[in-house]
Formats: sequence, C-alpha cells, structure tokens
Amino acid sequence: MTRPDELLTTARLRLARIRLRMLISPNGSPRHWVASLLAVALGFGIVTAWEGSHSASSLTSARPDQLLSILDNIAARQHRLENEQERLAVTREQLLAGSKQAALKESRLRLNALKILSGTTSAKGPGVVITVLDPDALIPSSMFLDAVQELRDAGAEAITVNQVRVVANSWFADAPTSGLIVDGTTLRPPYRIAAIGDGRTIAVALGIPGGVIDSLTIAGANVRVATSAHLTLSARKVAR
Amino acid sequence: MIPALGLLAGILVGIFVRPDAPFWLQPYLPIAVVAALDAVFGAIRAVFDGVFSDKVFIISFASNVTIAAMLVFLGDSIGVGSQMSTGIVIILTLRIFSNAAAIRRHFFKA
Repeated sequence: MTRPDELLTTARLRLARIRLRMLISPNGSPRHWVASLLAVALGFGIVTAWEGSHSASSLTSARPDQLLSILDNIAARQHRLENEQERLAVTREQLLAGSKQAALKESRLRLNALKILSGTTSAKGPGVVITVLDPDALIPSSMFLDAVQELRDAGAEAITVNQVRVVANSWFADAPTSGLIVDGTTLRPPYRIAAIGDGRTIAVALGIPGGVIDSLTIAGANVRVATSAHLTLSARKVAR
Repeated sequence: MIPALGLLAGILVGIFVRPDAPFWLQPYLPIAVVAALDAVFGAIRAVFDGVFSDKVFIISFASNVTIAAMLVFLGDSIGVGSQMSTGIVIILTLRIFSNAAAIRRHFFKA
C-alpha cells in the first residue's frame, strides 16, 4: 500500500527526469541558440577571469605591505648610491687636482675590490651563511642565480656556494639527475651559500616578503640564515 | 544540451586562446561571471519547476551581468569597490545555493 505523499514524490521524480530529457533534446529555436551563445560567453568569461587572477604581474597583485618593503628597499638603495656618488665625486676632484697620493690610494682600493670580485684572493669578514636544505631537489638553478643576484644587490662582496667561489662570470645549471652545477662543479644538497658583507643588511634583504627566502621556501626548500662575524671564503680555484 | 556544450566550448576556446582580459574589464569580469552563474542556476531550477522560458533566461542573464558590473563600477567610483564586490558575491552565492537546493529537491527526497 503506497501512501499518497510517496506517490507524489515518485511522480515528481519522474517529472524531473522528463524535464531533464526535454532540456537535453535540442529544439532549434533562435532563442535556444542565443541562450547557447550566452553559455559560450560564460565559459569564455570563466577562463578569462581565471587567467586574470592567476597571471597578474607581481606588482599589480602585491599587497600593500609588500609594496612598502619594495619601496623601502629602493629608497635604501638610492641612499647608498647617493653616498657612493658623493664619494666618487670627491675622488674625482682629487684625481683631477693631480694628487698622486689619491691616485695611488684609489688604485689600491680598486685592485682589492677587483681581486675580491674576481675571486683571485680569499676574502675575510662578517657576513651571512644561508643553509638551503633541499632533500627532494626541488630548487631549480635559476633560483640560486636569483639568490646570488639578490646577495650582490644587498652589498655582498664575495659569495661562495658550497666552496665554489661565485664571481662575475659564474654560471648555474641544473644537474642532469639532481643537484646543481656551478662553474662546472656538481653540488648536492644541502647547499651552503656564504656571503661576505654587512650581515644584517643582507639578512633583511633576503627576508623581505616575496624575497629569496620566501621564494625558496615556497618552492619547497628549508632555508636557514645565520649572520656570522668571521667568515673566510677561499680563493677561486682556477681551472687550467 | 546545446547550452551545456556551449559552456564547454567556451571553456575550451578560452583555454586555447588564453585570453587576456582588457585592463578596464578586470574588476568586473569575476563579478559578471558569478552573476552569469546565478542566472544559469536559476534557469536550471526553472527547467525543473516547469517554468523555464529561454526569453526569461536571456533577459535575466544579461540583466544580472549588467547590474552586477554596474554596481561594482558604482562602488569603485564612490570608494567602496571591494565592499561592494564582496556584497554582490555574497548575495549571488546565496541565490546560487538556494537554487541548487531547489534543484536537488527535484532529484532527491531531501
């Protein structure tokens, strides 16, 4: 014995199926095509909106605090550059005035700076040590290049990656299986990036939102940064 | 069936063309998409209620999208753009849920 409300439910279910079938069978009226066109537009719109929210460039989608730290960085860099400009202007004046002392001093400074940059001499001083634990080898070499670039921007004078001294013409590549190739030397994780320079400045520069540490962490590495008062980076081994 | 295929076709075309929304459209497109989804769910519900009319669907689709975009534009102009977007999305989502519930009731006993 079926109760009336059960009968009603069965009837409604059947009705729903019939209407679904009617919906599925095309009826070719112009309005139907307009409706279909709207559906195409909706699908297109969904993908476009999806693309828009996934491929926005970094600055337009950055949060205000990120923008602030980027701005701060730029301001600090401008300050440093202005100081340097002043110093260079003074040096230029002295050189133009024909002071031999100044010329000698300047060339010695340049020689030292170039020696450190080219890695022909070992470098000593305060700095930072970044340990990158990357057991699953997720970090592409390009991120190490970015990290080195960021270190240079932050004022690092000498940089090594696992004992390989990084110089102006150093190159980074992904090893065929796993690992990192720097100047022809294959390195395996964990990586130890050491940089000589103002440790605190460098640590701050690395730690900004969206900076090196952020991107390495997002890529799946475990990153530790330690400042050190005494670092010694050996000279570059020259391949002959 | 054809509208469903149309939706799929639109998505596929979008995936292959990789469209870049013009800059002026960017704030309105997501809202317009949600508004259009609301119209679609309303239409599916109407089918099961037996009151579907393609004319009503076309008009409600167009008006939903236009009004939603207009409201966001108005909100942007008077400085409450993000709140306005949030409000519109909440209302439209509510409607989508209630329509989805009505559709579900046609198929299941609950």
